[in-house]
Amino acid sequence: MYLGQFNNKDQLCEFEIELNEKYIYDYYNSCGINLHSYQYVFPTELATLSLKYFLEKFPIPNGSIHTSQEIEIYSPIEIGSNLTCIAFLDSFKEIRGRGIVIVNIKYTKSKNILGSANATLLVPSS
Amino acid sequence: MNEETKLKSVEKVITKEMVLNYANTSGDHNPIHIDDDYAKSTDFKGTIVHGMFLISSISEMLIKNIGENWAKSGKLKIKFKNPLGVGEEIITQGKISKIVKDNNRTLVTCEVMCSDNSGKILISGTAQWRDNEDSC
Repeated sequence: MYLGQFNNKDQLCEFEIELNEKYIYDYYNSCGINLHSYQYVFPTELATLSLKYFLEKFPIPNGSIHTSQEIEIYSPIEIGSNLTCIAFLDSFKEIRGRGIVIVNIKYTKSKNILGSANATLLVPSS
Repeated sequence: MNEETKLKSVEKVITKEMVLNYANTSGDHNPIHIDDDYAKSTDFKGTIVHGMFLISSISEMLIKNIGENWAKSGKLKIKFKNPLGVGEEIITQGKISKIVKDNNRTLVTCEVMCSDNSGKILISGTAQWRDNEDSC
């Protein structure tokens, strides 16, 4: 089962992300959003980039379903920032042969938590 | 902006090209989004748009209506209800449901959702942000 080697509340991984202008431009371009002209990173850009890095480390199996997503910015994050992301297995439950996994990511800079995200995934049994 | 205020919506058709670009940007190359043959063999009977792409349209609506306060203090809770087929149209909706003033800051809560052009709800949830009192 996906992430089955971990226990609830275990740290899954830690990685760095760079929220540079190119990424912001590519994100908005791919979403069909008109030119971004702000100083700060919006919540969905942050969640999407961190998910990219997370999926590289822990690819989800085909047939998985993303059932809910939460994201919160505690303090403004400037475009160009480098953040450390720490991912945790918030919870794992197995129901009728499928796993309900909640992954929590904390976004930190100089040990300060600037935001967090929770992704809930329904994953098939392996 | 007051309680019951409706936000200006975002309407767009999400094309295959956009989904492929989004797959590259997000790193999510799940074949259910990008592989027609694979997707036809699933319950969805075709490729579907990434859930996080749908959320980006909610964020786009909030950016257009709220601006930078959405970046400085945004909070979003979304549940995925139904998939959207690639090539179909989405329409976002947002309505302010609660405004709480505390000293010189204001916490705004907004019900948000996204539907297809038949009215089927794709995602729904709540967005919150802190606003300056003079702009609310």
